[in-house]
Amino acid sequence: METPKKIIIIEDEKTLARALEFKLKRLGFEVKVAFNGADGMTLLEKESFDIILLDLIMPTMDGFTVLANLRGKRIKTPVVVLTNLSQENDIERTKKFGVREFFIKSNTPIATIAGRVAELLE
Amino acid sequence: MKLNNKIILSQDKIALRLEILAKEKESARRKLVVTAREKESTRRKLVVTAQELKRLYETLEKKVLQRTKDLEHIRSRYEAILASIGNGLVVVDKEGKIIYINKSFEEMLGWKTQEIVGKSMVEVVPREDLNGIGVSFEERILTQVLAGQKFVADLTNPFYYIRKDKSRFPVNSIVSPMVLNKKIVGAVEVFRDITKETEIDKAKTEFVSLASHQLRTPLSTVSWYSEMLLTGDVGEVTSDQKKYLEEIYTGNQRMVDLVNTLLDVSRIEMGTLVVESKPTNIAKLAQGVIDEQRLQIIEKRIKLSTSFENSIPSIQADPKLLRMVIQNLLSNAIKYTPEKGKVKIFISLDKNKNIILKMSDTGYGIPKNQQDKIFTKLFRADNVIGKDTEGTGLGLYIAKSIVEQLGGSLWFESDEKKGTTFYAVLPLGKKKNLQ
Repeated sequence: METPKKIIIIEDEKTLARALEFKLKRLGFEVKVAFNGADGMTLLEKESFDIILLDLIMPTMDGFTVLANLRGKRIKTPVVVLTNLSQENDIERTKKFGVREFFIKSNTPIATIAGRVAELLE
Repeated sequence: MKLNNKIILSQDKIALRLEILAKEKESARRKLVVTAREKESTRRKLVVTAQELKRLYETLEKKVLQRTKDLEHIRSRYEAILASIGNGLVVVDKEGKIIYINKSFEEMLGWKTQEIVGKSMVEVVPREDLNGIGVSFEERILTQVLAGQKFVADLTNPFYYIRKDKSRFPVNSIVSPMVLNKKIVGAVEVFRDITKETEIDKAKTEFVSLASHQLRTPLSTVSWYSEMLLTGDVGEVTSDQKKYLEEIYTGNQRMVDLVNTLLDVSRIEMGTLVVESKPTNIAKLAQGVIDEQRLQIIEKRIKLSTSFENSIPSIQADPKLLRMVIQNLLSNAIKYTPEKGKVKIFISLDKNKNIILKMSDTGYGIPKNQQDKIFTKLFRADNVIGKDTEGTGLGLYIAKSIVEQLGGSLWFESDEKKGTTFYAVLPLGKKKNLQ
């Protein structure tokens, strides 16, 4: 049996993180969750993942800093940003870090996000 | 005897003669007395007349003095009023040269009366729009008023005045022509420093933006969890449960839409709307919006017809923003037209190469007495408040802001109970810079 793809969710809103974890696990992925950027970075340095789902506004370390750190540490794992910020300049800022997708959580059904993540992992 | 007789006779004659002479003398004397009296009377009369004249003269003198004093008093009172107006005031002649400025003008702009009177207002006090771009001579409202425009106020469109020391401050101004014998002889401008209002408005907009972003998190939670329940992720739900869950999901979706609209408004007001202009085909865009709203059109059995001219060139605009304009106009047309009504969309090119988007409906119309408020933020007309609970009163405000930022204009004609037609005119190339 093929080893499942590994996903890390870095999201401080626990209910949202849990929903995503549940949805993605149901699709057969291995999922780990970090509730802030700093914990996420620790996990990312220890283990390798196939994709990162990243929130932007978080305590301790925000998503923009995580993106900068990933670049600094040459971690090239693809990133999908999940946020409720929708200012064009936020989107632009993340694009500069090579972010693959940018979803506004309140405007996107969870099935759409899970589906897109699955597509990226194919 | 004869001789004696003769002598006697002549003596008599002499006596008679003397008597006559005496009488004549007396008569002459009497006449003289009368003349003297008359003379005296005339003299007295003259004295009286002279006195009267003197008195009249003195009264007149007094009156003139009083009148001058009154006028002086009125003049200084008006001057004090003008000087004490808290708003800046400037009066110009028909060439736009300054005739008068008040104290507030001096304080606000840093110019003294003696430095500025006789100079051109437009040249001495430059005006900038919110982007810091200078407003040209032709575009200055003062120029327009002097050219015959009746009355111009820019209360909804603040701009900046540049002080003598080159610093700037936001202002609202009203300019009206000064008319004498049916001719424009100058203009009066009254302006107000709106720094405080601008700051409050900015804080309010930032608050709305922050609150809206915060609201999105719980909305996402409700949305995702009800979605997972509906799709059976955690087991099957009964048909009743499904119905209720759908209500939760739809209600939540409406709240999501409202938050998104509020964010659009705050972005327009904060000037953080990023415009990515590219050649945009407006007919295609309109068709896309129609397809998107097809369900509502079918539900209300609205007869929709379109007439798009073939040769419409692409317009240099942000498709995302232009789409919002069409979306708002169409969803209003559908929302405010009763079942089986008609909605028509025309896209054409006018002789000045502007794109004209015309959208007409056979809906409830806008009451005449509320037509001037229809583009005001959060305003909803009385005749539709009871009919539709979903409107926010923000759609037309957003649409107008966007059209104007694209350098175009948006207006309407409406008859209550007959329908409304909206017109958007979009220039092909010209585009105003965003704030």
